[in-house]
Amino acid sequence: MNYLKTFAAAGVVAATLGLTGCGYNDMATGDQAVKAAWSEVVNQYQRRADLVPNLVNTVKGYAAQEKEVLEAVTNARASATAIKATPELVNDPVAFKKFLDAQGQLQGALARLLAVAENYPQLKSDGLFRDLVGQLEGTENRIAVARKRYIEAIRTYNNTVVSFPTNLTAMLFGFKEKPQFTVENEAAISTAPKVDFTKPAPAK
Amino acid sequence: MGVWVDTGQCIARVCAVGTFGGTHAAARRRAPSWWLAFLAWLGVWVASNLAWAQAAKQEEGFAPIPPLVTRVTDTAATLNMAEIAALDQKIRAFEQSTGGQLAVLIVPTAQPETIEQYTIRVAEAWKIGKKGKDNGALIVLAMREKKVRIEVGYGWEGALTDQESKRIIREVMGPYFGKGQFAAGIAAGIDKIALALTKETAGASADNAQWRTPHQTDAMERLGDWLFRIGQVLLGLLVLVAILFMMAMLALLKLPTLLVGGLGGVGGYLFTRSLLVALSLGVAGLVVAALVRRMLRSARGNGWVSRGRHHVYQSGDSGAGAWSVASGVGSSVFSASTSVGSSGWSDSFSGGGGEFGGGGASGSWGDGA
Repeated sequence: MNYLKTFAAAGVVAATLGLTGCGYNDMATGDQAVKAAWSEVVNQYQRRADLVPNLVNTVKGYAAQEKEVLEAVTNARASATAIKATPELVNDPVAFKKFLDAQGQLQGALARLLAVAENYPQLKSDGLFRDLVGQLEGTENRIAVARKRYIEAIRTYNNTVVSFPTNLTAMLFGFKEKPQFTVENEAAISTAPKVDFTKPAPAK
Repeated sequence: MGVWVDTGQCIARVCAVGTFGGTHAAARRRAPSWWLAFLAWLGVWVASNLAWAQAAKQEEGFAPIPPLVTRVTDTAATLNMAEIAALDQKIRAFEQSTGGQLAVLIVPTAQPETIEQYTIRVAEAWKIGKKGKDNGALIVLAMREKKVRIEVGYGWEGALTDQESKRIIREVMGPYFGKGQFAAGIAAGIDKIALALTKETAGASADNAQWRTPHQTDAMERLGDWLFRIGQVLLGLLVLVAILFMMAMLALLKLPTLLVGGLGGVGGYLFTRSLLVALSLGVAGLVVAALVRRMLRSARGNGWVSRGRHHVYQSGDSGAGAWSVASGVGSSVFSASTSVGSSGWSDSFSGGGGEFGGGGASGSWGDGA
């Protein structure tokens, strides 16, 4: 009966190496985690965009003469919300870059609006304006946290796809490495103090 | 580090399977060796996950996150013992009235990170608030930067809004801190937070709730996840067993060994477009065909052959089936142990698994809020 059990062993080895072991489940759940993390990022971007109309109206009440800044914010919001952020957006590099650029423009326009508002002490002490600024800061932080978690989700997924021996399973099932999330030119576009999650040089 | 962990796990699994296969010579000892292999696998799996979790905690060059032991953690020697004790009492009362958790952390500095970056890391590590409910709040003071942050868990974002946190920092805590009265400032802040939370109406929380990606159904998600994974594994196994079975059939039809191996390889390539799969299925086909031929040569009639095949199907299936069960058991054991955390056998304070999304507000004192 030797070879029967050897056959059984061979079957189990093949099954284990092929599917139950070596990363398939990790990759599948990692893929879902990346999608969920991206949805959260989009969610928070949308939240910021929805704060804009109230903010613009409040500022108009005190500083209606600052037309260009107000228009810039309104237009930036329009272009940011015009792009439909579906889960497939991350797979299309051109559209993805446009989306991120639009969000960056909105961030910059908001920063300029808040800088201008500094010149109007009555506006600064207005309760509603303060509340909106508080909400805006909270939302910017939420965006930063959502992006950080998205980057981590991608990193975890990529680790599984790229490292041996799980990359064999990845080839088997067509799991590809995902591009890591970067926002270029963010410093150029925005002047607001931003939360930066790239690793800084070690402190001296 | 995760790479080596995964490799180690795979090697452990292969070794365990080899052990199982290798006991075919000693049928009587088969059962104990099988359990030994499973235990070895489980041990490697748990150990590797624990090691990886530990390594992930401390990153190079960043401000350290103190362990969560008490409600008030002061590594900057800002408060004296009496003040810490008083704040501890206040927080206990807070927990009674709001049903959630709150912790205070005072550090010398959060640099090189901003206080927001540092606080979210602390919140993710400490997990204040109950799992699923996420009803936790964290107050962090960074003394050198003169910055304070209130970090609010998902569950409380509706009641303790960002603007409310900002107001508490600016109007209540800031003035106290500017005068150097840190204990009083924190106490007043906690009072205001409790006020905001106990004033919570359904409307207020619904307002913020629309912005949260659905998060709550944790238990259901886990169950769904589990079933999905089991389904995936079983489907894959079914496919593999079917392919091997077909190759055995072809071999039984007295096809030449090489042809069976070749067919297995071609089939594998067509199925997955991967040369590696084609090669391994080809090899498996050769092995299967060779074994079947040896079987046929020593077979004493059809009855034996069909019995043998039935037996083979059973042991292969049960081996692999046991594997998915083992991994399921292992993962649920591990996640259960991590979610329990260090729930005290003394009076130590520990997080309940609450999660944070970056809500809250920051402010500074002294040189202007």
